[in-house]
Amino acid sequence: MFILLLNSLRSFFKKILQTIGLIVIIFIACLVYVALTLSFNSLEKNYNSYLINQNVEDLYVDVKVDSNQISIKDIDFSLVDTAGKDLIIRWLNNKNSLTYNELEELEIYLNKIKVIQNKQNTILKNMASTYNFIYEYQPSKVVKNSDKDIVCFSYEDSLSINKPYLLKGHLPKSSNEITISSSFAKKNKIKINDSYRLGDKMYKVVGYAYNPVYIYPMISFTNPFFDSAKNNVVYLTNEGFFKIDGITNNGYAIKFKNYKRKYILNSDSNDLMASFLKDKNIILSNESSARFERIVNFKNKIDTDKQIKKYFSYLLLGITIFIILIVLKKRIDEEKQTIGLLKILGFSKFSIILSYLFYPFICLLLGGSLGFIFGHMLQFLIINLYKSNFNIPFNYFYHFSLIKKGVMFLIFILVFTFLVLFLLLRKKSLVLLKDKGYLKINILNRFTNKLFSKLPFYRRFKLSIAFRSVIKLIMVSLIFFLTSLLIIFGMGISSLFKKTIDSIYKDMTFKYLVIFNYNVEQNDFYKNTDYLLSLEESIKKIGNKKVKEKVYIVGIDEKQNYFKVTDEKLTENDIVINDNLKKRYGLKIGDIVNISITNKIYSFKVKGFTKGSDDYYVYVDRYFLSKVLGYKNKVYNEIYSIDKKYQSMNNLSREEVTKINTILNLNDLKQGLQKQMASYVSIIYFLAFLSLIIALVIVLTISFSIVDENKVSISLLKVMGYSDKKISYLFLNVYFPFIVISYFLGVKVMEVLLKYILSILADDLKMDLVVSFSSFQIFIGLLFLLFIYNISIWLAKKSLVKVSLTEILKER
Amino acid sequence: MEQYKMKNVSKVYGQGNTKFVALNRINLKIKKGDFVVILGPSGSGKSTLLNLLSGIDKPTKGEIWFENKMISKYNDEKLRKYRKRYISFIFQNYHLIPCLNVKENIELSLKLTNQPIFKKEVFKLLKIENLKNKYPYQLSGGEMQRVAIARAIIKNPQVLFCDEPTGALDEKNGKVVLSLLKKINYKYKTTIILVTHNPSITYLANQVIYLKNGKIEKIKYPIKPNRRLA
Repeated sequence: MFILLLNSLRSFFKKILQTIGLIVIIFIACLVYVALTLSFNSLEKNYNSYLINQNVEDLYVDVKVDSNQISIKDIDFSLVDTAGKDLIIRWLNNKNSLTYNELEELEIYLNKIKVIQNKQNTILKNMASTYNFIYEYQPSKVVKNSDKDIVCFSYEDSLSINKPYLLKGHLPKSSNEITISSSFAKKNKIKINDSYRLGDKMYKVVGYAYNPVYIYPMISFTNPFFDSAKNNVVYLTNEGFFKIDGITNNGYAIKFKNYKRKYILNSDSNDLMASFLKDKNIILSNESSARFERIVNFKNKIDTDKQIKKYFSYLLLGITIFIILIVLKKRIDEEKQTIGLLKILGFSKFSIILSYLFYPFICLLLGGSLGFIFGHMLQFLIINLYKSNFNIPFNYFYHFSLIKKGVMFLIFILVFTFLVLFLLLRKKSLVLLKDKGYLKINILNRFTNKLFSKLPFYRRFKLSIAFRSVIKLIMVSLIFFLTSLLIIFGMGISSLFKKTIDSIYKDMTFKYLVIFNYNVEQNDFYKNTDYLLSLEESIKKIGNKKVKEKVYIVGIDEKQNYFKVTDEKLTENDIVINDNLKKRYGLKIGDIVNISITNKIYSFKVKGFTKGSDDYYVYVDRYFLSKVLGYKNKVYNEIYSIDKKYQSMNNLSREEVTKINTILNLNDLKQGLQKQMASYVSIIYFLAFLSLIIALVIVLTISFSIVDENKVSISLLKVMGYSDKKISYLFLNVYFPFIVISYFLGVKVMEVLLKYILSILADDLKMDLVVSFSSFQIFIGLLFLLFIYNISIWLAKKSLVKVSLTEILKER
Repeated sequence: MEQYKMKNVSKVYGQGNTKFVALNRINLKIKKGDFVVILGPSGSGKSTLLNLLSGIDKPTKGEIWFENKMISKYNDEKLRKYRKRYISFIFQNYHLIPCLNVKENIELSLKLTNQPIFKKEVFKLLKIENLKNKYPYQLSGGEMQRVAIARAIIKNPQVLFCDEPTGALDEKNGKVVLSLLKKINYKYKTTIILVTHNPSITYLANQVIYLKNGKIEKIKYPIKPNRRLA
C-alpha cells in the first residue's frame, strides 16, 4: 500500500503545472465560498444584534386626527398669536369655513400647541394594547447648511425605541451639544469638541453616533442618494431639537412586542403589522416608507447577494469536481497498463483506488486549506465593503464555523471520486493490460469529421481534436458562455444606467427642485423660476376604455424655462402626455383621457407628447388646475429654480422654511445616482473578472491535458518536421471557434434576458428601459475573452514545446 | 554516391557518475538507394544512431554529413527543415492520429511537400484503397502499419527510417510490410535505414551494421545492390 501511495505522490510532482492548476481551482472555489459564507453570516449576525440592542422600530407612522374630535377645551390659546387665535375660533365655529390654504395654516398652529399630538397619543394608547406594541413620538428636522443636508433627531435618556449607537465621545447632555455621523466627521475633518454650525447657531460636537433608522443612509425616495460628505445625521437634546428651525417630519416609531420583523411593507397580508396598517387612523407617509427602507434594505441586499453567492459557489464547486475527475480519468487512462499489472500482482481494487484518491486528497487539502485561510481574511474585506454602504457597528465575526462543512465537503468529493474511480477501474486486469482505448473516438467526433469534411485540412484537424473530448469542449464553451453573460450583463447594465440617467435629466436645466408642504398662492413671480402644481391623481378612462392608473398631473405655465414640456399654449381641455404613458396605452394625438381630480372627472384631449420622467406624467394648464382646486389665482407646490439661495436653508426666511418640505439639488441627485449605479456595475464586472480568471485556469488545465494526451502525436508531428507554432495551432488553439460562438450566444441570450427583465421592470417602475449594445462594446468584450484565451494558450505552449522528439520512440 | 557519412561520432548522455556512452566513435557511410539494416541487442545504440542520422538528436562529438552538408552542426530549426524535406519515419507502434481517418493521416504528411507521389499510386501499392475513410481503431495491426508506410512515402522522401517496423506484427503481416519496404526501395530509389533486433530481416539489406555497446562490431554486405535490384 505504501508503494502505491508513493507512486501516486510521484505524479503530484511529475505533472506540477497540472497539479498547480488543480490546486488553484480548488483554492478559488474554497476562497469564494468561505469568504462569502462567513461574511454574510457575520453581516447578518451584526445586523440582527443591532436591531435588538437598539430596539429598532418596526414601523414609523403618522396618525390621522378627525377634526370633529377637536373641541375648544383641547386648546390652550395662551400659546398662539392673535391671527392664530382668530383662525382657530373661526374653524371651531364652522369647520367648513376655511379655504385650502387656511386649513394648512391651521394645521401648523394646531401642531405648535400640540393639540394634534395629544389626540394622536390618545389614539395610539388605545391601539397599543390591541396590537401589543410600544410607541414613541419621534420627529425629525432637515436643516440645510450651505450645500449640506443635516437631519436632526432629539435624544433623551428615556428613549426606548431607536436608541442611538455611540461610536465615540458621549451623547448630548445640554442644548448646545450634538453628536454627528462619523463618516461626515471624517470627510469634513470635524473632531470631537469642535464647534459646528447648525442653522444660525453654533454647537459643540461631543461624539459620533449611528442613528438606527439610518442603517442604509437613504434620504428619501425622491432623494435616495446619501453622500456622507454632504449628509449628516445629528442628535440634539430635546430642548435643542425643538429650538432649531428646519423642515419637520412628524411621526411615531412603533415597536411590536413578540413580533417577527417583516422585511416588506405590505398592508394586504394577514399578519399583525398589516392589520394595524389597515386601521383608519394610521397613515403611512413618505417618511414611513423611507425609514422602513433604510432599516430593511440591508437585509434585502444580503438576501439578494446570498442568492448570487449560492449559485456562484455551486458553479465553482461543480467546476472543481469536474476538473478533479478529468485529471483523474486522464491519469487512469495513462496508467491503465500499470493498474492492470498491479491487479495481476495481487493488489486489491480497493487499495489501488485509495492510492489514486491520495492525489486529489492532497490537492484538496492544500487548495482547500489555503482557500479557507485566505477566505477568512477576505471576509473582512467584504464586510468593509458593506461597512462603507451601511451604518452598522461590526463586532461579531465568524471564524471556524465552516470547518465542519469543509470536512464534509472534502469527504463528499472523495466519496464521489471513489465511486467514479470504482467505475473506471472495473475492467479486468488483462483487459486493462491490452487496452488500446486511446485509439477510440466518440460518435460525435466521427459525425463532425464527416460534417466538416469539406473544410481545409488544418481546420478539420483542429475540430477533430476539439471534438475528441466532448466534456472538455462543453466545459470550455460553458465557462466562456457564462463569462460572456457576465461581461454583456455589465455592459448592458452600465449602458442602461447611463441612458436612464441621461433620459431622466436630459431636459432638466434647473439646479434646484423645491417641494412645498402645501399649495402656495402666487404673489411674486421670479424670472429664473418655473412654477408647477403637482398632484397625484388617477386616469379613469382612455377613449372608451375604462382604466385605473395612478398618474401625476402637473399644472404648467405657457413658458417653461428649465423643464420643457411643450411650446404650445395649453387650453383648459388640452393635455400633454409623457412617453411612458403614451407607450403603455398606445396614445395618439386627439385621444380623449378622463382624469379624476379631487373626486371629479375631467376630460382632456391629447395635444402632444413629452420625453423624460420615470413615471406616468400628464401636463395641463396651471391656471386651470388651480381653479379646479378652488383657488381664484394660480397656485404652486413645486418650483424649478437656478436661484443659489436654495443652496442653504440659512439663505431662506423663517416663513419660507416652514413652507418647504424638501429641497433637491439636481446635481447631487445625478451624481448620487451615477455613484450608486457605478457601484452595481463594478460588482458585476468583478464577477466577470473572477469568471475570466476561472476560464483562464480551466483552459490552461484542459490545454495541459490535451498536450499530455497527445504527447505522441505532437512528437510525431515534430519528427515529421512541423514547427512548434503550427503544432500549437493544431492542438492548442482548438477552442477558438467555440469561444467565439459561446460569446455571441452569450450576447444574444443576455440581450433577450435583459429585454425580458427590463420589460417586467419597466411595467413596475413605469420607466422606458431600453438596453442595446454597440458593435464596439461587443467587439471589446470579445477581445477580453480572446485575450484571456490566448494567455492560457501561450502558457500551455510552453509545455507543448517541452514535448521531446524521442517521445514517439518510447514504447506505448 | 555517399548519402550519409559519419566521422568519429559519439553520443554521451548524462554527466559524472551518471555518464553513459550510447555511441562511441562511429564511422560509417551509406550510399543513396541503400537498404541498410542496423542490428543489435537492447542498449547497443541502435535507436541513438537512428536519432542522429534522422536529425532527431545531435551528436556529442564527431561529424554527420548528409549529401555534403554537415547536419551535425545544424540548429533545431535547420534540423526540422531537414526532416521535413528529406526524411520519413515508420514506427513499431504505427502512431497514427486516432481522430483522423486513413486519408487524413496520410494528408498530414502530404502537407509537408511540393512533390508528392500520386495518392492513388500509393493507395494501390499499399492496398489501402478500401480503408480510406476508416479510423485507426477500426484497423488491424497490419493495416495500420500499411497506412503508416503510406503516410511516410507519400511525400516522396529521400530517406525512410524504420524503427522496428515489424515488431508489433505477426509473421504474415511482417512479411507483407518488409516486401512493401523492398518495393519502395526499388521503385522510388528511397534509402531505407531500418533498425531491428531481428537478424532474419538482414536478407533484404545490402548493408548490415552490427552494433554492440555503442560501437560498430562489424558491417556486412549480404547482397550486392545490382543483384538485389535484379
